[in-house]
Amino acid sequence: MIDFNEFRQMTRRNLLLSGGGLGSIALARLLAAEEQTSPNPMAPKQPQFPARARNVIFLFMEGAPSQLDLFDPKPALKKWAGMPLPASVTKELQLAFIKPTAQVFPSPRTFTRYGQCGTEFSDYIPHVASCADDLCLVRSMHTEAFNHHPGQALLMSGSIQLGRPTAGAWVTYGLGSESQELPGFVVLSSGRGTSAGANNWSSGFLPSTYQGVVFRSSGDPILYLENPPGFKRETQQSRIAAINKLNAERYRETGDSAIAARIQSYELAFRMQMAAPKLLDFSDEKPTTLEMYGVNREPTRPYATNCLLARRMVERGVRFVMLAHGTWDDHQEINKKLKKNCDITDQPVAALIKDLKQRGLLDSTLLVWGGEFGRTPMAEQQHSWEDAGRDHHPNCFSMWLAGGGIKGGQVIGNTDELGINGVEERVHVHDLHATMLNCLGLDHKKLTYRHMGRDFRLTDVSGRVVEKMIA
Amino acid sequence: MPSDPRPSRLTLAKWVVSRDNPLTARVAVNRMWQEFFGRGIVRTSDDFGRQGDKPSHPELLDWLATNFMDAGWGVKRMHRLIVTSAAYRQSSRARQDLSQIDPANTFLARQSRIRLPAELIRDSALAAGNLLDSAVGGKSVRPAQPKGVADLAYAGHVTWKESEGRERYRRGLYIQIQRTVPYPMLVNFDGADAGVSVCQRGHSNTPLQALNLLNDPVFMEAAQALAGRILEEGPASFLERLKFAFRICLARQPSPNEIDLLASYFNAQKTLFEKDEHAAAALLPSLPRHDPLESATWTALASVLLNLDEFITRE
Repeated sequence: MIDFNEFRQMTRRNLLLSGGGLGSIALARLLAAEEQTSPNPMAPKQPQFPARARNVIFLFMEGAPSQLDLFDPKPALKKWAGMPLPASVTKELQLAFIKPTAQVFPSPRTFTRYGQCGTEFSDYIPHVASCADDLCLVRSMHTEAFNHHPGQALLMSGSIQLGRPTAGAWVTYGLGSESQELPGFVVLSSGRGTSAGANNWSSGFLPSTYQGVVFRSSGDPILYLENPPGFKRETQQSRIAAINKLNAERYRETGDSAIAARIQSYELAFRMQMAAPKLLDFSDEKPTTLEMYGVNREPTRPYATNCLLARRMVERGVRFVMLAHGTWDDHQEINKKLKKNCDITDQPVAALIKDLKQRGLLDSTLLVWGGEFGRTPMAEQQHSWEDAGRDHHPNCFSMWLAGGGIKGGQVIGNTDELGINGVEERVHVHDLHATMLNCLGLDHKKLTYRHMGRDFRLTDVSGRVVEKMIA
Repeated sequence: MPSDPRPSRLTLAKWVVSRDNPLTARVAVNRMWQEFFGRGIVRTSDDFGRQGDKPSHPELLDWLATNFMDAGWGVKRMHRLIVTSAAYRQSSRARQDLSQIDPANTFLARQSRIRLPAELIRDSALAAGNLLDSAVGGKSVRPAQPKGVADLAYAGHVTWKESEGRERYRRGLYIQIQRTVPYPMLVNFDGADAGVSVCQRGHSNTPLQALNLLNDPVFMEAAQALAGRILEEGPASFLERLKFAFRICLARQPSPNEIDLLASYFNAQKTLFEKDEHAAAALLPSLPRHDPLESATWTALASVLLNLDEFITRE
């Protein structure tokens, strides 16, 4: 979405002074020059202004969880149960699979008020609901895409076109990483994975150093971490020492700083080999912590493991962690399938919030929970109400944020009584991005990268910081 | 644009490659130049507009562009013209005085060192071990990748059925691009996201690259094959073998310092392997005519050469 007001208010002088003009060209040049000489593109960088959050954990719920059954109660739908909505309400709807005349499907969930704030949550997510006072629930999210791949691309990279850098790549490009032993942008996946796959953590046209590194939650967390057969710690160390001595010879010969950087990379690689397995070793965690996450039992085990790993990575300075869980694409049997995903993720997510809080890490860690769009108030593919599901719905859906820089215990936005459109304080995906970057001390208009003749940014040509979200 | 009573796409196409429109040829030769020198004559090779950089050598750019058009747009011919030039054939050794005057080497007082693109790093390692299949054309291949990579695709929809026989050693260019779970080695070495056109790849330098070259079975297999070559094809003495290996990997002789360093590495590594009876067997199991310990140590040395910055760099 283009915000034309931005142009109207822009005089030539403003243009030159603001991030959109020559100032940012000079910055892009400077950054490019820095990239050529700086030995480590992941070296921590200062934010553009004082930051509220240092790290991000993006709890990506792939496939679009139903806001109507979790976060946004619509009792008025009961009156329409089994009937089509009036054409005047649905005439502009673009839906992926069902017709706008499909029968209304009121949520069978019961909603209860939680916390001091009294925000309503569904009976499927009692654990997350118990953190109500820490959550900033946004009920008025909206997006342009109503199919998964473009929707995920937009949520992650600010564009429905593939090949743009994703939020994690932008953040590590802007801030580097505090971690010397782990990559700056890590992805953990559970469930069915995500349909956009590597596009969800791509660095696009940014240097590929900023691409998300997929960790596995069992075995070797990082690919090629294990020594090849025949090599043990000592022999590996001796091999790396020989490589570095010869590289140092060549450095003296050619004076190319890239060789100095290569030497550093090999040292770092060895440290990574030593440190990364410790990341996965939970023996230093208290049994009560493991119990709180649900690490040692089903069905929470896989997601609980990833949540605990996320906390351990944040402690180690990893800048951006994405936990992708799929799929929430419940076209059929939504009652059963939604419950299954909630049973897997609800307790671990709540444990993550509480654990970060009790360790004093929540203030500096921005948590974002959500999927690429929402789901329709109307039913899909029903043989009976038992196996009904919901179609894709881009006009309004819910996400929540918590932690670093976010004001908890509040609800942003409203949707109309039938759950068709946002009516107040609508928040576009671009606005979410602008706000996330703001929490990290980055101005979304000034975090740019020159590509194909123009400065690109995560928020494309739109986005505004939602001040109300910020503490 | 020539006037045309009914302009069509053909009118546009003819104009794009018209002799009176130098832009197309300039952009094309600039991209070739960029691959050979590490940067284009116009550094912003994707932007020849007002916000792009000015050419560092405008007359040269025009000369190359006209030459390219006049000779019938022959790409191979242009490559030959560039690589046989005095500018291309310069040494890449840095000089303190030049680094002060022209730190980015814009004026090409020397050649630049460029890290090889992802595919060529793999090709070079396979070639050193005499494994590379240099056949041109054919269908994509799926060389070995770590277990579990393909499992991360959506709902387990991707099966990465490994190619067999010679297909495993085909050039990196032919590796199948699996959009949702790309081949990890290509990703580690700046292989571009296939979802977007880019005319410049990155040249990053990361610990994941080090882990890749150190521990990826593909590169260990290349090291084993190289060790096999050294022992089977090479001369008998340590020094002569070392020189043989240097010629294969780096196309030069080792310096006295390098000989000393590698001789002491060879001995130290051999002593360590001696203490570990399984190591030698795991490192190079299939050379019956050679002492297993000796073979294992040559594999470890070969892998050092395949990890050198110089090996993955166009000097």
